[in-house]
Parts: sequence; structure tokens; C-alpha cells
Amino acid sequence: MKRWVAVVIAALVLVPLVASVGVAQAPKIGLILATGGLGDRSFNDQSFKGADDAAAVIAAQYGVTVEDVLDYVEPADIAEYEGFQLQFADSGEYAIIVCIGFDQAAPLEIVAPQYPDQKFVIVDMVVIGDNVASVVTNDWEEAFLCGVVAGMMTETNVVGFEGGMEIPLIIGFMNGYTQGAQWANPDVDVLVRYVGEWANPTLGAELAREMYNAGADIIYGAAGKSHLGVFAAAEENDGWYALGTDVDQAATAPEHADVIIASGLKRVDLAVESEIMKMVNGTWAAGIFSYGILTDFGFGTGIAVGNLDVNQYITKSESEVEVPCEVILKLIEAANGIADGTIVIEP
Amino acid sequence: MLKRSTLLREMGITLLSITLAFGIGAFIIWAAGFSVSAVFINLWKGAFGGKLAIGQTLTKATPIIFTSLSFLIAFRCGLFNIGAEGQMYIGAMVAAVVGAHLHLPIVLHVVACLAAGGLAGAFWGWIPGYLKAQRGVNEFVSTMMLSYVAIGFSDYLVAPRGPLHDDKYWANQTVRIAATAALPRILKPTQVSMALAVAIFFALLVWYYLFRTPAGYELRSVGLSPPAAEYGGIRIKRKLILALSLAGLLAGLAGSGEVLGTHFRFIGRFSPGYGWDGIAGGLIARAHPIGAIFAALLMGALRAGGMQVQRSGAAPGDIAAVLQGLVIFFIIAPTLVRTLIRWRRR
Repeated sequence: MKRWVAVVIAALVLVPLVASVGVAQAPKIGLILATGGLGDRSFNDQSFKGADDAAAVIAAQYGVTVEDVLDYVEPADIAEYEGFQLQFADSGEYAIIVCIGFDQAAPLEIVAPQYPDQKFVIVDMVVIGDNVASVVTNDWEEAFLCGVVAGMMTETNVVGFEGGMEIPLIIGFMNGYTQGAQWANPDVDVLVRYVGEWANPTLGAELAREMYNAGADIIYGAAGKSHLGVFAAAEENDGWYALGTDVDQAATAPEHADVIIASGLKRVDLAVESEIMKMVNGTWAAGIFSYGILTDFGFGTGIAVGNLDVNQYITKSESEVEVPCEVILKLIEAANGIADGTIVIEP
Repeated sequence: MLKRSTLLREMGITLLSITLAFGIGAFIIWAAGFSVSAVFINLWKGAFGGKLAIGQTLTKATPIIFTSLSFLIAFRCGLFNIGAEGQMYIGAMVAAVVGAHLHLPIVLHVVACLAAGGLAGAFWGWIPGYLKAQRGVNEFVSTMMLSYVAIGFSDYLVAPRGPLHDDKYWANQTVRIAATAALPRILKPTQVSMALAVAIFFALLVWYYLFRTPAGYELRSVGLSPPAAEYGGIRIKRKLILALSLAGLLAGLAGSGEVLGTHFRFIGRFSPGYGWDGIAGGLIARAHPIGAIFAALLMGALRAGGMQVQRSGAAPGDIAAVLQGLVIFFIIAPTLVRTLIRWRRR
């Protein structure tokens, strides 16, 4: 009897062990999104796209499905981050765990040292560690380019900015936008409002309406899902326009393509994809990776505007709003100025 | 005390309710086009499948033990404390401030934080208690409304430009508490901390108070029959205020435990609804303090399992939340209906 039990236990332990050695496993990706969640048609969706694209490549390589490679969660609030980070890391199933959003930094600083062999990526904030790659972006560059568009196209000489929270990350956007608008049009005034939440489009629309009524005719949104409300508010009146963030939002929110003049670009998808592919290729390293026009990469920010791909910074948009040629020319001047250092943006 | 046969019957009803909830949940999962077996397997795995899973369950159960106690101690006095969520936020906030800005030796610092958080929660419970006793204000409404005040106030404190905002991480949270104020974690690498032991200790304490002391007996007799209690010489008004203050104290401790053991700081909107879970927990436990421990474990397991359901991709988090809601609803519904009928007859 005793021996029989021992045999069964040995079989239970050994069979999965042998099985896992026998088949080359596809490396799995764990993705923890920011609290804005999927469906923001901006930052989170773009991050997801990057991970999804990488997963598709891996899946094709190993002959499995994307679902086998990519697992993701949408935490509802920041208190859930640490629990999810632990769950992913402790399962030991994931070759790399990608944490989206600045607010994951505090829990990651606790979790990452406990799993020294686990590779982590954090987007939008720096966490120092031998197993963490921090991906940051010169957000103020995309905001500056959006400011140029707003400054040139405003008819009231008043433009608006709607941020998610009054934190250095978003203040960087606001400063870039303000400087861009005033670089293109010294007479312009910029109104600034902060929603205080990343996933509240209703409040986002409320604040946008207030700015429109105060005379702003173009509002730039950098508030995650919340600034979808800016687009909705812009629909309510002729002559009210909006600018999108991080992706061509005229394409991701096509129902608002008639009010979204242009969108700042932050290629967080490329950044996430490249981190994952580095892991696959065995070249992954910890450290800080900074994307933007004025960084080692020389890409990562830009603007989607007009109907032509001009260069790597100025690409075409699905927007239905007519953009005059001189705006595009001014944008080229601005992008070149940022790249060669003649335009210095204070973030 | 419950008679043995009643106890068995109550347990039978509870088990039946859980089964029914899972049955209907299975139907909804199937109708929504997800694999029923995958969802349930992951629900189990996330709640009990391994050290981390058990850790998650215990982590989530810890504050729910406190909030269940908070609900049931008021319930025993014939009151509905719907405001544990807000009392918890106030307690958590005060504990975080004392934990970060006071310098005390180890142990003493923890005790000071727990005391401060508990007392702050007690104050938040005392207000509706006083209004109820002196002015007859319905505690149902006042405790709930004060919850929104508490949560909104804490939002203001930790938002950017708020006085307690931590500039280092940008997120809506306070700075980290001092190492001397932290409750040690007891099941590393999980977030389970000594707060769990404190919670169980308080469950025993509440049981002793309610069933083994004259003061607890008086509190219960107010709940059973106010006129009889008054005839017996119990000062009802004082008991009402005391019951809601104690409820606030326990909820305040729930928040303090979260700050001192789980997050080491106050995080804006840290609670996924532990205060509301306490209402369910208290009712599932049939208002018994020891039962509250097990009710909280069930609620914690559902929350932890829900996270795993989401992570594994078996179904979106919303589906897991639906399942949680169903279980709570089915277990509470009979109790709630019975209670309401009894109250109408009165």
C-alpha cells in the first residue's frame, strides 16, 4: 500500500516535470495596465497594442495563439497594483512583466527586489533595479507640436488644456503645449483644467464645456479616458475643436474625426514592443530608456496631422478637419528646431 | 446562544444559497460566452491554489473581518451601520498621518497608530449615533452620507496640491509610514500582515463583549426590544451612541490595518468596497462575531479569485464581479427579507 502511494506521488511530480522539459515553451508576457483601462483609445490601448504585436510575433514563432502568450489585467484602482504584480511575478510563468503607468512605481519598488530573476518593464516612470527597465518619453515634445497647431489655428486666441492630474508628468505636457502655442502665436492665452481622474469622461466633458464657453476654441486633452469627454463636448458647437494625445485619436475615435484637428504621438506601443522583443532576442537589459525627438532613440514622439506622412515626426491623420499648409510648414520648423536644439522646451 | 439544530439549519441555508448563486453565476458565464469550468477553476486557484492565492484571500479578508464586526455590533443594537466605508477611510487617513509623522519606538508606534485610527473611526461613528439618539436622525442615511464626506475629504488630502500628497510618486497617496509603524508581514511574499491577527483578536473581543459582559447584554437587549430594555432600566440613547461609536472604531481599525500592514501608506480610493463587503459579511455571519471571520474569508476568497479569473483571461474582471455580487445577494437575501419582515411586524 505504502509503495503504491509513493509510486503515484512520484508519477504526479515527475510527469509534469518531464512534460515541461520536453516542449520548448513560448515565453509569456504579463501586462498590467494603468487604471484608465482599455478603451481609452489612447495610452492604455496603445500600450496594449505594443504588447499584442509582440505577442503575435512570438505566437507565430512557436505556433501557438496570442492568448497563450499574452495575459493582461486592468486594475480598477492603484491599491490593486501590488497584488497583481505579486500574482504575476510569483506565478513564475512570465518571461517579462510590463507595468503601464507612473503610479505602478511605488508598488514595483517593493515587488521587484523580491523576484530578482523576474524581468520587469515600467512605462512612464523610473524604477531603479537590476531587473527593471524603465521606459520614459519626452512627452513635452508631442505637446509642443500640438501647441503649435493650436496657436496657429485658433480664431479666438484662447486655447485650452485638459490634464488628468496636476502631477509633473502632466505638467510637462501642459508646459510643452503652452510653449508651443506661444512660440507659434505670441498673443495666445492658454486655459488649464485638471480632471483629477483618468477614467471619468463625464467630468472631462464638463470641464471642456466650461473652457469652450470661456472662449477657448481648441482644447488639448491629456487625461486618459477622461479627455474622451473633450471630443464629445467639441461636437456640441460649430467652431469648437480638440487635439488628441499619444495616438491619432481621429483614427481611434473616428466618430469624432470631424473635431479632432490633430493628435500628439507617443509611440509607447513601439517602446513596449521593443522591450518584449529584446527579451525574446536575449538582448534585454535593465536601465532607463528615454524616447523622444531629442533622445538617443531620436523617435517616439511626434504629431499626427494633415493627410501626408511628412517625416518620422509628422505623420498623416484620419482627421476630417482641413489643416492649412502653413501649419504643416511651421510644424516641420518646430520639429527640426527641437531636434537640433534651437528650440528648448522647459518641461 | 443558538441551539444546535438552529445552527445546523442556518448553515444549511447558507450553503444552499452559495450553491444557488454559483449555479446562476455559471449560467450567466455560459450565456456571456465564456468557459464555465475555466472561470470556476481559476476562481478556486486564485483563492486557495497555493501560498500566494491563500495570501491574497487572507489579505482581502483582513479588513472585511473588521468591517463585518463593525456592521454586526451596530446590528445587535438594532442599528444599520451603512457607513463603515467612510469610517474606514477616516481611520486609515489618521493612521497614515500618525504612522508617517510621529516618531515612536517599535510596537508603541503601531499601537499609537491603531489607537488613533480606531478613535478617528469611532468619532465618525459617534456623529450619526449622537444624531440618532438626540434627534432621531435615521442612521441609515446619516452613516452613508458621512461616508461620502469622508471619502471625498481623503481624496482632497492626497490629490496633487493636497496637504498630504506624496510628490515623489505623483500618485494620489501619502508618503510611506515609518518602519516602526509597520505591521510585519507574516506570509512573505504576500501582503498578509499581523493586521490579520489583530482582526481575529478583535473578533474574539467583540464576542466576549457581546455575550459575556453585562454591558454587551444590555446592548443586545436594546436591539432585541427597546421598550423591554428601557423597562429594564437601560439608558437606550447612550447605548445607541455607544454601538455606533464602537462600529466606527472597528471600521477605523480596518482602515488602519490596511495602511499599517498592506499598503504602508494611505492610497486614495484604496478600498474596492471593503466597507460594503462588511454589510454582507455581517449578515452572512448572522451577526455572530466568530462567524464574521469565516464570512470575511468567503468574501476575501471571492475577491482574490476574481483577480485570478481576470489575470488568466478566463473572463474579464467584470464577470468575476458579477459572480461576487450574486453570491453576496443570494446569501443575504433570505436574511434580509427575514429581518425586514420582523421589523414590519414590530
